[in-house]
Parts: sequence; C-alpha cells; structure tokens
Amino acid sequence: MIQQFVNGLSLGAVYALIAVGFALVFSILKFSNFSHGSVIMLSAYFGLWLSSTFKVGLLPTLLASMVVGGLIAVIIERLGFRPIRKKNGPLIYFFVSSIAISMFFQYLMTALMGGQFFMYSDFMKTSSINVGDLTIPVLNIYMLAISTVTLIVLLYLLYKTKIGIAIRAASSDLLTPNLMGINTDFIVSVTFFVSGALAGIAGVFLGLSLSVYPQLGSLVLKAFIATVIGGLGSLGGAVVGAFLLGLAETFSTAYLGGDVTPMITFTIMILFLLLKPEGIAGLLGLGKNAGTTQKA
Amino acid sequence: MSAFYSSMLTFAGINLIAVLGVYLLIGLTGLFSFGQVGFMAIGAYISSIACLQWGLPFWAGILISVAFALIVGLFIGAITLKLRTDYFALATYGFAEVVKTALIYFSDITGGSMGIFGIPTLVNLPVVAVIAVICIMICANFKKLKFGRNSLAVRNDPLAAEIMGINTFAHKMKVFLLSAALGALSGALLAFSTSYIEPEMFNWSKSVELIIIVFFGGLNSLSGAVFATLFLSLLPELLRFGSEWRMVLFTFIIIVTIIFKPTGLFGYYEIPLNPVTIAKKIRSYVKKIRVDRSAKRGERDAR
Repeated sequence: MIQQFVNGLSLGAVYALIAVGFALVFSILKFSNFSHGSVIMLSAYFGLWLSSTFKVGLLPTLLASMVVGGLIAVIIERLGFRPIRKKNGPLIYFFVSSIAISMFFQYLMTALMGGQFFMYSDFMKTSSINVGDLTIPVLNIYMLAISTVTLIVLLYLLYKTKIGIAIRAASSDLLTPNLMGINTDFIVSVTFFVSGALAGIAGVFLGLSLSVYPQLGSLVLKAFIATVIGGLGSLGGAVVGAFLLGLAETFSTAYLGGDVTPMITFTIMILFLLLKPEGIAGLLGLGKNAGTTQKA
Repeated sequence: MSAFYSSMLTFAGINLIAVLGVYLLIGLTGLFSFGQVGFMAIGAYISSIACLQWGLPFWAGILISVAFALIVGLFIGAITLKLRTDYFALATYGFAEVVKTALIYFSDITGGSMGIFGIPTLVNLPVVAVIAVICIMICANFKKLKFGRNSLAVRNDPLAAEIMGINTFAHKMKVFLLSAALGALSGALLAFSTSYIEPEMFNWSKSVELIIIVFFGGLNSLSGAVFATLFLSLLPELLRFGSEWRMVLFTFIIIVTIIFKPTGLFGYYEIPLNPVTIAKKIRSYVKKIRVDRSAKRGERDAR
C-alpha cells in the first residue's frame, strides 16, 4: 500500500513537470499545446544519446536535456506558432498546428530510428533502498526529489524575477504588457523555453522508467488530463492534478490491472468535466496563484 | 485496372466516408472531436461480429453497427456536447480510448488485441464508390440547406445562433449523430474489405489523420475535403515512398499549409457540379473575355 503510494507520488512528480509546462503555454497563448509531447520525446532521445555516447551521469544528462528541450520548444514556437500569431489566426489553428507538429516528429523519429524501444544504460536503475519492508528504487527517489526542486525553482522564477512577473502579466493579457514596454515575443519565447526545459527533464525520467520510443510523446495527454483535473491554465492546479493522476494510475494498475487503467482515468476526467469544470483549482481557489485567468 | 490500384481506391473511398463525418463535425459545425475513430471501431467490430457470430448477412451487420453507433453517439453527445472546445476534444479522445480498451478487455467476443480474422471480403471498389458518392451528395445538400446554414451559425457564434432561434445543443447533437453514423459506416466497410481488424487500427493517430485531411482541404469546403482525401491517400502510394517517410511528408505538408494558407487548399471554393451553375460560370467567363477584347480594341482605336 505505502509502496504503491511512493510509486504513485514519483510518477505524479514527472506528470507534474509535464503538466506545468503544458499549463504555462496554455495560460499565455490559450491553446492546448500537443507539440509539448514531441519535446518530451526528442529530449528523451537526446538524453539517451548523450548518456550512452559520453557515459555521463544522471545530473549532467538532465541539465543538458533541459537546455536542449528548451531550445527545441523555442524553435517549434518560432516556426510553428509565431506565423499564426502574427496573422492573428484563430485558436483552432494553433491547436491543429501543434497536433500536426507532434505527429510530424513522431513519424520522423519512427523513420529515422525505427519503431524499436531503446533502454537507457542502467547507470542507476538496479539499485534500490530498503526502508523497513519497503523497497524503493533509487530512480523513484530521484524523480520525486528533482521534480520537486525544479518546481520550487520555477515558482521562485515566476514570483521573484522580472521575467517571471512579465510571464504572469502576459498570461492575463498578451496585448497590454506589450503597451507597457514588455517585449511579448521574447516573453512567449521564454515561456516556451521554460516549458521545454521541464519537458526535457520529464523526457529523460520517462525514458529511464519506461524506455525511449517514438510514441513517448503521447504521454502529453496525461498532462492534458492532469491540467483538466487541476483546472486548465492554473499551475498550482496542474501540479495537484498530476499527483492525483499519478496516484490513481498506480493504484488502479496495482489493484485492477493495467488494461482498465485508461478507463478509470478517463472516467475521473469526465466526472471532473461534468461536475467541476474549473477543476481542483476552482475548489481550492488556487487559480489566482499563477496570475492566470479563470476565463479559460 | 490492376488489383493494386483498385484496393488503393477502395481504401481512399472508405477514408472519404469517415472524412465526410469529420468535415460535417469540425468544418461545418466547429466541434473538434477526436472520437471519430471510436465510432469507426464500433462500426467495424459490431458489423463483423454480427456477420461472423450471429450469422447475419453483411448489409444487416452494417445497419446494426450504424444503429449501435447512433445509440452510443446519443449517450456520448449528451455528456460532452455542452463542453467547450478543448474539453470536448479531450472527452471525445477519452471516448475513443475507452472503446479501444473495451475491445481489448472483452476478449472473448472481440478477440482482444489479436483482433478478428477471416471476415469475408464482400466490399469492393464499385460498392465503396457508390456509397461514397451518395454520402458526398447528402453532405453537399446539407451544406446548402437550412441544416448547413444552422451549422455555420452555431460554429461562428453559438450565442447569436441561439438568439436567432436555433437550439444549438439539439443541432450539435444532430451533426454529432450524423458523423457517428458516417464513421461507423466507414469502419464497417473497412472491416469487410480488409478481412481483418484489430484494436491498433483504431488509434488516436487515425483520428488525427482525418482531422488533418479536413484542414488540408479547407475547413469551409466540401470539395476541398474530398480532394484532400483522394490526394493524400493516393499521392504517397503513387510516389512509392518508403512507408515510414510517407507520413513524415504528409504531416510536413499539413504544417506548411496551416502556416502559409490556414484556410486550407480550397478556402471557401466549391467545385460546381450542378450543370446550370457550370453553364452560368462558362457564360460569364466568355462574356468577360469578350469585354476585355472589346476594351482592348477600343484602346487601339482611340490611339
């Protein structure tokens, strides 16, 4: 029971990283960014390549994947979303563009690498710690710890730095900050960089705990579900929703079997959509935390 | 015609029927659904189970599967149609995933992840072509009639549509059911032409493919949807790409289209099929040429 709880928490921590990046972009541009998944997938491949070629440890791999993930996200924004933004295209075009981009990278990696699954060389996989009668893999502890630290750093960034304040301003309205002398194009790029960096960490962790394959990007849907449970556009809600989702998935896989798990998670999601569309953030009043509008 | 081309065209036609459903739903009414593939799966499985296990003729199986899809659609629509775009997309995606999970879970009826083998191949190119043409005609008429105009009104401004006396929820439901029926029909035809179905055929990426085709052709154009389906289904086959690079090219074309010509290939243009309209167009074109000529002559004379 406690064993499952710890596993669920560490899975939830990784989901939280993805969900926060997803919610950040949603809070500024107000669309569901499916290309987030391809950033996760690409940085998982990058981390794999880096760790197997240069035999570096986990932390350098994570840092490098963060940077690469961020850069990929910025490039995607430049090429895929900025042209639409400059034309004032409707939200649906952003949505379709992000889906097309995620499919593009999925097929590109399938074509380049083949559909096979790659495993990270086990530089820390095998070890685990025994606490009483619990067996906790070291990887899970790292996942939980590093994700938590990253989220705290992000919180600091958003609330205490000038750029963070600008991001929060842009999330309530993209036009007014522009009039106030904030370069919104730059802010959008920074937001994409931050969300891509989070996706980079999540990608390496997911690659470690599952394996690396072209469809890894479809895990962005978990982030989508988590943000719905949490309240779309609210960062605090996204974190809570991600942890809940991680726990729900782990418990349902352990006690009901892996086949039923998607049914359970989607039932939870539909119940939230029907009964509490503003999510947990609406329940707890977390919505204002990230300075995001509840209009979404 | 060789067997290769005829089977290719058969698949293009089956795809076309599913695309028409998505076109009505997304293009005309603006309901962004990822659930189309769920209805395709229902159509394929129910019709082949009806045929193989209950011993019904295949057309009865297809009718039953469409009816079943309508009932499921009524239920899903009642839950999801009042949600906003992103939520609706996610909820319908959830529906498709649940269908897929159910197909794997109830393995004694559906064959689990192994799928169903040995479905008789009763559907060939002429059958698909006739059904596809009938579906296109239905959709084309819908676009011109009150139904289509109501759809456009609901898409462009639901509030204004409601004020003008359109029951938006009921209208959305009608469109949703129609697209569910088209999806189930296309799934059933798919089952009876491939002779083999499995849950993996009804993936998220299939839904995305349908949506992307509609966007490529142009959200506002039925001709665009038809052309895009034929073009995107046939072109890669004709160019003989390696199968893995085909989808890369396909998605790349879509990204470029959305960025540079977001209204799609056809925009608002419809290929005229009515002989009277064609005659009118030709006449006005001829007149324009004559006017141009006489204008030029006038210029020359003035000089």
